[in-house]
Amino acid sequence: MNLHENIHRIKEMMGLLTEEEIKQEIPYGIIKFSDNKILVGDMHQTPLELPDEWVEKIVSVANDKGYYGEGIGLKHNKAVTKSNFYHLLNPKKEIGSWDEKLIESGEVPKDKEYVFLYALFSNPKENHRLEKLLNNIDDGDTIFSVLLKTIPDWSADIGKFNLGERELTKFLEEISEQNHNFIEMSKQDATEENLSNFLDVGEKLQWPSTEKNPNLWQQYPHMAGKFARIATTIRDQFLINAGPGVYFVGAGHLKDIVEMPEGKGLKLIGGKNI
Amino acid sequence: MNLQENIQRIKSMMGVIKEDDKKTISYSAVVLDHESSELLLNKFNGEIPDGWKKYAHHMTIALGKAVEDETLLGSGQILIVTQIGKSDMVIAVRVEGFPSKNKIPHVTLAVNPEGGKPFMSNKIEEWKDIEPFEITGEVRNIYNI
Repeated sequence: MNLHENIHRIKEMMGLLTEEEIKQEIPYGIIKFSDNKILVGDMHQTPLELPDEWVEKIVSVANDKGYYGEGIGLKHNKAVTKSNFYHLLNPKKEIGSWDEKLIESGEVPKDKEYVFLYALFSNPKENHRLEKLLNNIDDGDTIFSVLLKTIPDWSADIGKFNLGERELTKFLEEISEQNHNFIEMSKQDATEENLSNFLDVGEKLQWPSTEKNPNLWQQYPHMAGKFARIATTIRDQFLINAGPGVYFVGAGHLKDIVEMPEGKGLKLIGGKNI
Repeated sequence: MNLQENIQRIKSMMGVIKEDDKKTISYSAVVLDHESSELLLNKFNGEIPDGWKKYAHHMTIALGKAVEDETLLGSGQILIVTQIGKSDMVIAVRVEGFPSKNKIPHVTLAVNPEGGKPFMSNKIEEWKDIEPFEITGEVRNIYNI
């Protein structure tokens, strides 16, 4: 340990770190709801390097009350598996995905279940969506029919809500706008070119480029983005309601949560890079 | 317009929420930790009919209301399970250890998928004593999603 690290460690022990130093140390944020519930932010697979004080708190709660990953689970999240504390977590206390808990909780009202179809346009490249859709094409399929039979593969409810034709139609209607009619597009033959174009258009509308305006996505200029925003809010809400444990979450959720009325009184610790 | 106002506007616009169901408290509760939830479901697994939807999630403190004493929010609580009760719609355990507005403080274990709802635990008439044991949870306000 060099001098700088030593000074830092002493300051940490004495509670003398400044707000700015904490922000630097916990760049993706933490929310401590109580002695038994902590939300830990991460970002795009960047391994977390948290200060000793927080490692101790997180590991203590996780190994007592259990811990949860996001989406398809912790093992796919290098931010946690390559972190400086993962080796301290008791594997037996890994409960699973909090997204799955949300889906199984019965808390999502029936009329909001279709919102989970937003995931069609989320990270299509990383999830090899085009290839997976192409693998499911039968003769005579349209884009709509391929999407319909593969809903459990790409929808954020992983098939648990039994979403079908009615919900898919509602989703495609509601994300359509002036120059982009997804219902009409979905009637096209399910060729590689048509499917690829369909996914590209959806992704660009849902997550518009921030090159010219870094805050553009937060304004949700398109219906597909608005749709994704609703799903995110439902997930934020679930995290607020959730019981004891450690929840590893995309850092954006943390910022949302402290701004929500239900998050009144909660403090975002760190979070410089959110 | 801030982020949350924007989200609220988007949700209203898309008819995903109605104007009158914004940010309301669904209930306040002692929300069980995973271990307690699993303990209940494992211990009474034999009592739960096949196909029933399992819960074992919380003990309601008050329906539609926040916890009166805000200092209790987030506090860890120990509940004592004393009885098990069952109807044709729902199965629950009776608990003691934290005040509840319900006449019979309980944790719903499971409901009949053919019309059963957790609130029906309040109408269970037959309760039988069991060897008391502890479960743990945390006081929380639960908001409508």
